[in-house]
Amino acid sequence: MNAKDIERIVSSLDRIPTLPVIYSKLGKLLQSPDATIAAVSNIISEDQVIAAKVLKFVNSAFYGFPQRVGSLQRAIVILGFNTIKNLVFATSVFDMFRGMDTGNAFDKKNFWKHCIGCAVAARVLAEAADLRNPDEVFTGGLLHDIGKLVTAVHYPERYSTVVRDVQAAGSPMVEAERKVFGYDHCQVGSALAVHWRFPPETAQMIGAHHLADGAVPSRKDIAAVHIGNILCMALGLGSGGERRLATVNPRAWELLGLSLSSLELVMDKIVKLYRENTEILDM
Amino acid sequence: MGILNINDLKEGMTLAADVKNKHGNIMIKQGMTLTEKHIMLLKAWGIPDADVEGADREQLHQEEMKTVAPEVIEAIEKELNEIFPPIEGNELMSEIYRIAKKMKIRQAQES
Repeated sequence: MNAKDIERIVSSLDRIPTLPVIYSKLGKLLQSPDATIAAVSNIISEDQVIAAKVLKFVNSAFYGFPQRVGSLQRAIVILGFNTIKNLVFATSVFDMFRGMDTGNAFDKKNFWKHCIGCAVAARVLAEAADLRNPDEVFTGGLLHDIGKLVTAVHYPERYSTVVRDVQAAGSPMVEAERKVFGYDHCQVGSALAVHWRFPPETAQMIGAHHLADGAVPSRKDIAAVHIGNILCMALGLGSGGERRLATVNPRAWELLGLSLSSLELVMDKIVKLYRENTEILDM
Repeated sequence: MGILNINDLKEGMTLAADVKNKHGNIMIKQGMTLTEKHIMLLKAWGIPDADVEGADREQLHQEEMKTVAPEVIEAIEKELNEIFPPIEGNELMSEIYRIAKKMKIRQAQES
């Protein structure tokens, strides 16, 4: 996909949601030399809902601190600027779409559960494989299917047809989407990520998570989102509209370098953390 | 002796081999009788399995299956078969299937 395609897709989605002010404020601040912990904390505390979520997140089992982290400033020190930005972003995207109508294309609640399931699964895999950025992999997983949501908001009728076809024929979503729209949710998602000026890694995790036949994953974070997506479907955590789960790309598994015997522990952890995270993100 | 998954370890089992972490360091010595605390630590260390005296994964699996009604297992298999692609000959997908089934059976037992 080249720059022109991205432009075409983004411009065809004329009602691209704008991100909440807090995100752009935070983004601007983090790029400037004035980005102190106090300044970041001030911006986040303007939005009490997000502030509360940051605190819940830092106190979750992902981090496993023996004592409760009570202050926003300490939470920022622990999580770091990047993770805070990702977290604020992910929660604002969720909130932004909460009120939007997707017609009867899919059950939005189940869709969010699938997103959280994939995020948790990708993060657990990233940690097991000693990746250095598990929090970014979490965001990548959370947003991996954002293209579905945006397309469904814009074309609820046509997207319902896609989901109906997929449910009836059991074909992969990406194929049905390409037939109806000429592009798939991976392309829309990564185009949006570029439009919203996300880190390029996030855009790639969104754009490449399906790893079609024979595709070679270029990075471990992409492999983690790809496998996480399949594991959360196998475990029945929510639903992204797909009827069948895909086969794990063997190259992706190889790249992560995990042993088969570690899989049970990984899947066990996913289910436990999923329960906690659906509560934190309050879907 | 037999390799058991961490989730299947029980208090009172005896280790048939040293438990090592991924760097090869010995974490618990062979011959130790496992306590609840050991099992908790193994989980915290992220160790996936251990070699236990007199254990047989297959037998354990059979016993676990006996406590669940066959129609429940059948329903779980049907549910999984509907969403899984063909898994024959694919070691990784077969393992995902096996674990997903085991976890669903466990959930059914708990509820």
